[in-house]
Amino acid sequence: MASFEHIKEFPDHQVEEIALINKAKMDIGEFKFLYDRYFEQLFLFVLKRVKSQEIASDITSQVFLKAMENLKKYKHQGFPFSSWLYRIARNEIFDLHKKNKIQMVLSIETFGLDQMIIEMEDGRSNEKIKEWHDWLYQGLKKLEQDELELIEMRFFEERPFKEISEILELGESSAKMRTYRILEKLKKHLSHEQ
Amino acid sequence: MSNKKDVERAFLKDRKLPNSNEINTYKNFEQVNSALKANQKKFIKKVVLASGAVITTVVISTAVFITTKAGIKKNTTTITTTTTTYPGKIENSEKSAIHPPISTKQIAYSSYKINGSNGGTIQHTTGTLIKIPANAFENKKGKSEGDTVEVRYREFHNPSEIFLSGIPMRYDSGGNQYNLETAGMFEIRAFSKDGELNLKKGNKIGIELASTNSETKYNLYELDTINGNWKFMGKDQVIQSHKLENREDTKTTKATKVNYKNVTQTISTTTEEYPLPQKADVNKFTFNIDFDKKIFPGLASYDGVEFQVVGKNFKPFYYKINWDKITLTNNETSGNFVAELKKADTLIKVDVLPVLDERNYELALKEFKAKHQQILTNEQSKTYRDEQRLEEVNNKIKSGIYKKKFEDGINLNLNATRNFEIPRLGVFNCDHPILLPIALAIKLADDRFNQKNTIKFDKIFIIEKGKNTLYTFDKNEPIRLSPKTQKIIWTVTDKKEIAFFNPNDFNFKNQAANGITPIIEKDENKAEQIIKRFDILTAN
Repeated sequence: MASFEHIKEFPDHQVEEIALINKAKMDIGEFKFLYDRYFEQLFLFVLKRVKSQEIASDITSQVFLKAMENLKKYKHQGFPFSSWLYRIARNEIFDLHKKNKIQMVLSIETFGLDQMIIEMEDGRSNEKIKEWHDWLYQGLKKLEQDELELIEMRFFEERPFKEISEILELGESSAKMRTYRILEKLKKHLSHEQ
Repeated sequence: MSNKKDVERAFLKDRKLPNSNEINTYKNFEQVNSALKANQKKFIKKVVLASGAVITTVVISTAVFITTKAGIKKNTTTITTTTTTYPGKIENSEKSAIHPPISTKQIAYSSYKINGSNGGTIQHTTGTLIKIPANAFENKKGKSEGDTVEVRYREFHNPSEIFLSGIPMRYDSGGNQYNLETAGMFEIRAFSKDGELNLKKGNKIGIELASTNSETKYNLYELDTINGNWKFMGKDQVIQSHKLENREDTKTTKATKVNYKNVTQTISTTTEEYPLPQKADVNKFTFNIDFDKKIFPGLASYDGVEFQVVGKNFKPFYYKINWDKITLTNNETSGNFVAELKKADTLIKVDVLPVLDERNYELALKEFKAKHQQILTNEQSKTYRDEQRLEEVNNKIKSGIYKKKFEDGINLNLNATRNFEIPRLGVFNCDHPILLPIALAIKLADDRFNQKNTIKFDKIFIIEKGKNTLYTFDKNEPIRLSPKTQKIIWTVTDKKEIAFFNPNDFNFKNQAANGITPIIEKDENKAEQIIKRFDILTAN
């Protein structure tokens, strides 16, 4: 039996999304509006973690299929619907990787490396920035997977901590604290390399 | 998080990611929905695991196109065409959240007069239909207005119009800051000799809004004009229609046009190998695809090439059907294309072969190869296309054509309509929220900036390539932007002059805003044109 959200219990900014979800619970064909709304961001989320657009396309389809199959169980808990989709996608990617069906990748952006250096408040000169990138790149390789995920979402995907915490099912302050600890770890790595 | 620890990931640096149009070619809700219905979970998994076998290479995914303008005209009883224009100032503007930045450059209202007792349908110059029921209006005292009612109406379709309107586009949701990206925004008001009127409770005005965008991701929002908040109203109705035009003689190489003028999405390709056009057979069904080379650059080589049906599963009456969606896919086995014609639950697959007129075949093929090679070897084709579009606009500005068209409101490619009803008069918007960039936040109003600049301003405006919205930042809040995108940044000074910033000054290494100084463009018309030039980059 589908559980419907009582719209009046939620603030205005969430009403729109809940209304769409409720409609889709009654008629799954209405899920198309949610599909259209979230396809691009979900596709990119997946693509940044896999090697090709074709694999990303297939996994994205699978994620939406699972979301549609489980929609009736979905209960709005104040988080955006997209967080739920991201969680499904994340599990799907890890499962396929674990079964050796796909190779997971980390899509690194130069501007994300720049931003990390700024966040580390490192006083190094601009002339050596290329060198730092290389060190940082090596430093990232030494991180645990869960650490890498935080860095990935924060710096290479530019997600707010609130969203990161929703996707990873962490507290927001915990996500922040862990991220800055990882940056400290990387900073030590940079100092050691110099 | 702990269960994901034992994963090794390959690192890929600065990958080229697909743009929205390319991503949209992978969208296929029908496939997912069918899989759900048929409980074909295993099948989908198999597809995932066999990703190397994906054969889709060229897809034209036609989105939405609702009703042709001609269709509207046939079915309506337009009752008035009074087109008096009024300046854009809103009554009670001192209480309004709408602040047009340049008082002399506001978007004017069109004025239409109707009989309040009878109601009627107004057709705006853009093609929008406004369907007003009988006895719909009342004055401030609640008295029904049956005499002459003046309806004032104006639309805003692109960033320069949003800028001039002064309408806020910020949308706060769950503490996250969004900007509304528009598929068409409008303001409607009504007046009588008694002053401004309201719509009676229970009455609704039907709107068929002419729109440049036919995607279904947009919702309808209403602006609270006093506090500047947008309120979600629901979804608009979007009807899809594509028609293969009829032709008298179906068995000649004189092709019938497939109307793709309203396509908003693009193609992507995983291979650069396209089938070479063959010599046309006059005894077979053939059609053209009338696509826009700028929208479908991957198919640019096939401009002027016809598609000839292979096999017997094509019926002449297909030309008469309004197809919901037409897809062109590479068939790697046969080397041909597969055209998929979809209408509701019916899907017709037709093998087609690109062909050239048999009479000039050798010459035409030579030209095709040369054109194809040129496209393939253009590594910077995307940048090139953007520059080309800008150049076209610049030329039009120089010749005065673009400016005139813009002022007339007819340069917009308003090829779709979005249908809905509104329960009140006011400002409405077909939108979808996009998250404000978080990559970079620069605050210009800090001490370091003020010490070096004498220019005073209240707001910073940003237009970003590919986003049909206007970002507005108060001088006291950090300007949030993504340094990687093409954009234009400007302000309006306290002397009402437009001053442009250099977007390159806004970067990670300059978060202290050192040396960021706007350049004032004294020529107001030139400044307006510079902003309008970027409309073309934000268009879908």
